[in-house]
Amino acid sequence: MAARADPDREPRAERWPAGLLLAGAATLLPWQAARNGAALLEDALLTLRGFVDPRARRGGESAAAAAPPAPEAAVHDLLSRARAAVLPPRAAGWERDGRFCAVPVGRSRSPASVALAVPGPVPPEEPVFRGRELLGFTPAWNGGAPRLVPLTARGTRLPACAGEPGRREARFLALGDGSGLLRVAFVDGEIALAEGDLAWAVDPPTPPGGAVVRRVGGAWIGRLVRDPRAEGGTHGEWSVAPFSAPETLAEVAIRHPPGFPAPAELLLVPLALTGRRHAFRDARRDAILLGRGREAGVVAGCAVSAGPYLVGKVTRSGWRQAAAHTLRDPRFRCRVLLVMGDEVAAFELETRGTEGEDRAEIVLAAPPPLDGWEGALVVSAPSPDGMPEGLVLGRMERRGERCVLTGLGRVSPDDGEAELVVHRPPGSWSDDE
Amino acid sequence: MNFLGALLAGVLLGLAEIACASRLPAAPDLTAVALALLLSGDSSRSTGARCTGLLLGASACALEPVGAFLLGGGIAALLLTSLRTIVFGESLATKAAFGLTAALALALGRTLCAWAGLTPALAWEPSSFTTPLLTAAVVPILALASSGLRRMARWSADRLGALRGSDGGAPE
Repeated sequence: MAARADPDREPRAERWPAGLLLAGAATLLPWQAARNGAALLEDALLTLRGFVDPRARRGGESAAAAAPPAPEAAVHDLLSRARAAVLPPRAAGWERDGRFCAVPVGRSRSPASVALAVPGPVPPEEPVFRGRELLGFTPAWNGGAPRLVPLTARGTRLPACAGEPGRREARFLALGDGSGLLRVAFVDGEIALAEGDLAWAVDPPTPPGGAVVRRVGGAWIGRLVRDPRAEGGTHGEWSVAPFSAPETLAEVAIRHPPGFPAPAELLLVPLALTGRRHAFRDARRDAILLGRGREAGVVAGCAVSAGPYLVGKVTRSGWRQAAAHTLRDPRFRCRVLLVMGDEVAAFELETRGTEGEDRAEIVLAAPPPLDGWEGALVVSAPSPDGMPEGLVLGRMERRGERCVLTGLGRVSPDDGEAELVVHRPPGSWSDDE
Repeated sequence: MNFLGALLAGVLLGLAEIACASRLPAAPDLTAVALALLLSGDSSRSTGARCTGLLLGASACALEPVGAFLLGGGIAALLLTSLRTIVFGESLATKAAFGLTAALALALGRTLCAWAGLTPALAWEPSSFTTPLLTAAVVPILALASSGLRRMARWSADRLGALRGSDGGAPE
């Protein structure tokens, strides 16, 4: 009689290792659904860890720092001065019967569209300025996310003038083609143009019977440059290079007509709690664990600060447990503002790890794409995801070929527990508070 | 049940690894040790569930992408299940090789995730090799200790049986 096979034995080739490999490979796919699924699983596993880890129940809200943290006064003053420089001069007349409001620029920036980080609506078809420079217009239909259509976007056209104001003025039509430059077309042939000439906008003719309004007339749009593509033959000889690059825009000024609500303040709800350091096998990594999670509105993207300093950003959030990667962790990414005197520029910061004694200097992946960044104060840029404006990251310094952040405050708690503040976006959880 | 038990064991292993990392200058990769011991033993239908639970549990404590553990564990499982059919699994050198392979496979999974931009890419330093080497050293020691314990249990059971036989009844 043949022996009966043991049902718990599997003599054939096993298929589960391949399944495990495929499941792991699926999380690498650049599809949002795959990434979201993996993030959901990671959050659930963090919750499980919270139930098993005896230390996880010790952290939590802290009564010591219940009041919202006050921003550093010096940083606040610097940002206010920079904001004032963004508003166009009243004497130019572009304000008409409304008022200009400074609006922060969001993360998504392309030649066709620049996101505006404002929770409420922006007025449709209004010009957008940065000081005396005309950057573009708000779109006509305002149903989607607030954004700005730059002058350089494909399909835009604007009557303009170039030369020396009042002495040598050549009218032309500035055409956007999505290249980052404005094409110069239909130039007044009698006036000679020169490289570096100032180009400014001209208001279109007023319709018969319409009120004479000064919308954008006289606003700068850039300087004339010889078009590098002109040799191909299809383009004209001249182009206009705008003064401001969309990548470094921090704030813009938009006219709000009478009755239109002012841009809403970015409202974040701070939560004071204690955090403790997470020990990695590799000492180059750095993260902290927080004793509150989704139940308290602590979600991925929330900023974690200690006093006026940015400590890190929440990356995982479970039930009564969240994890935040700190500035010292390699590949930490954050949109920041570089404050250089009265100038403020936006920059996507990415870290490469730390160096120096006590890991006090943070090496950046790349320097900012602008001049004069050495010594610039680096503060956080506002984001509706949970990042307030003005949390200090440090100062930019050059170390040989590298760009580093120095003068950091408490960027990571010690091995013990530390008082931290998490900045949460408002949600249904905050109705009772 | 196998999966849930392994998931819990994985979390506990992850917590033990964190405790080791915060107190010791170097420590073995405990997930790789458990994986190597699991895969060097007799294969059963529940081995897959146990391995998956162990890897998910360990990833809960590591703050690394879950894909790094699944990918690394899958590579380790593919290699070790194939190796087990061609090498003598009971030798200590084989156990050490299994430990080294599991540790390197988990590191490879993490590296692949770094290439995909899910986790920071960290350059390999001399100290980065201590973890796989320590893992390779620990696996045969634990396997020896485990077989020793099993032998002792068997010996105790035999002795108990012999005592029952000589007394003709249950011992007091």
